[in-house]
Amino acid sequence: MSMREKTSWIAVLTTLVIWTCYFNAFWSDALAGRIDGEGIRNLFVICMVISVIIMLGLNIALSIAARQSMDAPPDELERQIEARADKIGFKVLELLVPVVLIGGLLNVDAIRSAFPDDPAGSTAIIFVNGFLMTMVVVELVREGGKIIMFRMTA
Amino acid sequence: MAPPPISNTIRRLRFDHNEMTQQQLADRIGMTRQTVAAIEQNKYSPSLEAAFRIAEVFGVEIGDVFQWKKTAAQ
Repeated sequence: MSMREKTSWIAVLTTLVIWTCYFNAFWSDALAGRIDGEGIRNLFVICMVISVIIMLGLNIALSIAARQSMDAPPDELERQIEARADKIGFKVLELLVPVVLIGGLLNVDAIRSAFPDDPAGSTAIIFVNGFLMTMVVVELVREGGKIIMFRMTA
Repeated sequence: MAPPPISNTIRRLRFDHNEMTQQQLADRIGMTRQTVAAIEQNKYSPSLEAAFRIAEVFGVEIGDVFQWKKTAAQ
């Protein structure tokens, strides 16, 4: 397994575990009708920091164990795989952004009535988290696509 | 995905060149071992530049490394 495939596995597994926990906590609270802006912001920062530490730490450990440079330039097959994965990720982004936007706009009244204490703030937090979820899904599709393509050539 | 209609003799050439490993060949042409393995197993068609580099390492013509497989239609 090449360094880049291992890096993709690390990214997929870390993203899956950490952001599943984050979105599970967020949507559980949102569906229960209680959104704590400060708590969500803190949780987001914690998840982001943990993600970066785990991904960076594992990649450095991997690089040392394999005695390979972490920033070695990709060869032509790796470049081709990355380009294809980026293209697939962009298509998914193009599809999901309008879905989240239209879905959110159609449900603005429902969101506002579910959070009478702070309708504007709650709507904004839900929209932001909808887009954050989109970014996470796109990243999973990109890295997952790379893994599939690496496996196909292995 | 159908394999490209190209065969190669890299495995035999490696063997003939002092049993050169995939990693040694990869290092000499600036690729990863995994990419060399994919080329050797006919799962990936290299660029023309990479094909010339491989031929240069073995000191043979490019046609001695890669061969076009004629399809039934041809």
